[in-house]
Amino acid sequence: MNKRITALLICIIVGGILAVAGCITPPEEVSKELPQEIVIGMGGDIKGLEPVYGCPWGAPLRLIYETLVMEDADLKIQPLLAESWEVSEDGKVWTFHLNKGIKFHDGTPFNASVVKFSFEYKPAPYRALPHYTKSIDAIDEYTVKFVLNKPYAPLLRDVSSAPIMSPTAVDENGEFKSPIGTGPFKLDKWVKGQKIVLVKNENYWRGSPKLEAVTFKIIPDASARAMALETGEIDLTGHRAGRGVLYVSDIPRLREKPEIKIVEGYTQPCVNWIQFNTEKEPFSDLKVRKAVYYGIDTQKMVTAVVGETAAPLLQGPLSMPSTEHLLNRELTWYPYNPEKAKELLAEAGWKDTDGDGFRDRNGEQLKVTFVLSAFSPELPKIAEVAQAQLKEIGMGVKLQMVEYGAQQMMFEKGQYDMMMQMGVCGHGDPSLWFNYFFHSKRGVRCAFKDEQLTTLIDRLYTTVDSKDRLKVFYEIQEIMEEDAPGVFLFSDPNIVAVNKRVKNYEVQGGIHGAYLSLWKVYIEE
Amino acid sequence: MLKYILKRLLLVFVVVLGVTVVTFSAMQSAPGDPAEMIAVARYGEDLTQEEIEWVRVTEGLDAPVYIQYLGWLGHILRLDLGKSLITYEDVLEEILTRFPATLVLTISSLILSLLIALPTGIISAVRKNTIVDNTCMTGALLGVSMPNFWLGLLLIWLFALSLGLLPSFGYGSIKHLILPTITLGTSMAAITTRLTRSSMLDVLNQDYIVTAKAKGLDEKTILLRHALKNAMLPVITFVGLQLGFLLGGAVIVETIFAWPGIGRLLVDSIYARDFALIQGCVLFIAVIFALSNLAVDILYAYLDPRIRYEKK
Repeated sequence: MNKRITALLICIIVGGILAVAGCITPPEEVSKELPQEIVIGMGGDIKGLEPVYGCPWGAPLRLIYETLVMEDADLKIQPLLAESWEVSEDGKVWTFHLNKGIKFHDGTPFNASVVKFSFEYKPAPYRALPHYTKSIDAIDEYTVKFVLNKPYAPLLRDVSSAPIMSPTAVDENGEFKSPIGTGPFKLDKWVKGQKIVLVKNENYWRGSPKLEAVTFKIIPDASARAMALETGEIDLTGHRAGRGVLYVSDIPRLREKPEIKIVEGYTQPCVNWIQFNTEKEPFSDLKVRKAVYYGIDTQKMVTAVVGETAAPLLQGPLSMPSTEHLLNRELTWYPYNPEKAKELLAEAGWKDTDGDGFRDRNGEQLKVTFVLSAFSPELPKIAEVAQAQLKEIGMGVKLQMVEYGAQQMMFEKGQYDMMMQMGVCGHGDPSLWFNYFFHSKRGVRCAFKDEQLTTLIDRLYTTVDSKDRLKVFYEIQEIMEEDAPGVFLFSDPNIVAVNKRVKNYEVQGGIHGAYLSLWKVYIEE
Repeated sequence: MLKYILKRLLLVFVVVLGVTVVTFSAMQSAPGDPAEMIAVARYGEDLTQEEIEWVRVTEGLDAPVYIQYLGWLGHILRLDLGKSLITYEDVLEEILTRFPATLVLTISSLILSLLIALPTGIISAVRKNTIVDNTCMTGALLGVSMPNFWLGLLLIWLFALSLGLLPSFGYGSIKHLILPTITLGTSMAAITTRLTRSSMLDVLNQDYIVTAKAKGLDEKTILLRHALKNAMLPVITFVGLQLGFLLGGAVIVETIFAWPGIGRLLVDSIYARDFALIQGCVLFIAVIFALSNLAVDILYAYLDPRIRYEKK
């Protein structure tokens, strides 16, 4: 028996070693060390190669597929596949003039009918088709016309996130086959959960890229990603769109590394804010809401937790760099003022009668529940700072950390007093965010119901003239300030850490443009 | 013996059926509207109610719960775990492409842990309460207490960043395997060492060992021939359980080292609210776990005749 056990053990061990050796694919042919190859660390994999996936999953696909127009580093619309465009007086007809002579990766010519195909490839409600589209017509080979049912101001923004694909990318039944776009890079291979390898498109219409290959590697842990950058295993990481977020706490260390450069792009139009449940006590009382706003030192909180790169929103949701041109500067908002906060609470009837540090009214203590999910590591810290600051003005805050789905459910059922809300990523126009949180058609998902606000948001979509639209933005901000549906805190930092051997890189185009500048990037030791 | 195995197989089937019920009802009672979550994962947050309803209808999420369950069960019986709700990929295929990575890591860490744990545990038991024993036990305590993510990051820092010897992440070569194996293997070894030691000590106090000593057998023969064999039974059970756990994917280690195994697939699918993939992964892991338990049971019966003949 003894010998048999020994034999068995040896069998297990030998078998194990063989299994290990057999399962492991032969070591990748020691990568030829392409001098012009960039390796990018991403937090998560792409969902698929079909250009229908929403942000932020699709960022690498933006190197394969291009769009008619794009958002530049300042989130302004710039031409890409379309060289110019015009809109009719009534804002219902948008005409795009396409660049000539562009070819897809497989040689298929790019023209108006291809644009029509791409937009109509999947029926609504897929993302590619802008809302309210009546028809898309190819007028001639290089002119395409979008006819809408009603005026639609952010159409260029929608178009800037609608990838154009070749008709040869689908089979005869209309099923997606392979990723064929006009972009500077072509798909080489996608090893799920591990990497996406793109190789250069030599015939790229803006000139052949200098990089031979772009490899996206999936490294889920943010600390591990930062270390991989330090060891030189990856060249670039950090942009939110690649789900490659860096921990704010890693950034100072990376800054000190001589071989690493921190590139700060424009902050995204994403508002992180504390929303009040205005449907029930105590936040149904405007005075209490204002008191909290006065009681939170936004500047200090944001600098301490998110770092100096985030933009604190001291004058409401549009006071970030990318929307400064829309900012209503006449509004004062609520600069940190704990005394004023205390006064307001007292006026609302909340006084500390029993001397325990927390205010009360009619025997009921001023204690509220603050619901949040740990979507990014900063959010719980933000909540803790808010908790400490509100304690100063005599408000007790109970933090309740839940999973994102649970938070959504509590939001819809109103089971909260305060809730951490985040931005909506999509494109650079704030209409999306206002619509998402404040339009009454959102029903239970509407964060603050106000008919006037809803009307104004509708006008944000239907007002094409930019001067008139600015007035609407001003009015919306007035309501936001007056009604204080929440405390607007900061917009996300957009930070990329990149090895210095990577030249010519810049952060571009908000959410989708994480890698848009790679076509002109090159490596130089 | 055959009858014993068949009986166990039947039990595995019952367990798996139970798992399908539990998994499915857990998914149903998870907070949040599944249709909305899927729509958000697929298309981003900028959604209209119509889009959410469209997802609900196309994914069959509007059917009564028991219909959804029976439908799923029917597919499972035909070995069809369905398609991912987000990527439309075949779930079973997705799992099977990830499984080799998990298998490799499991086997290598199991071997490492046994290579460390068995000798250490035996020596500790034999040299009980000496410096050797105390050192080994302190080491084991450290190993048990050190969280995987911390040890993992520490190893990356030391071997990849400071010494530049090994890659910090990834999958593909033996070099990539070393750090995750050490992380997993050492923490497992810690527990196995302690178990081996205490089990060895139990056996060494048995009467038949005293008899063997009295007969004048030398220590080596007593240890290897008489003590070890009996002391191994609880260890085998434990290692079998660990095997089951590991084959289900070591989530933390796989995440830190970007190891594309089952554990990460499961976590990713949970984040994405990909119900089909979550259910598929959980079911697969449950089956693997049940089967590795079955293997332990069989091995156990083989090693210990008392079990084999117990209920004849």
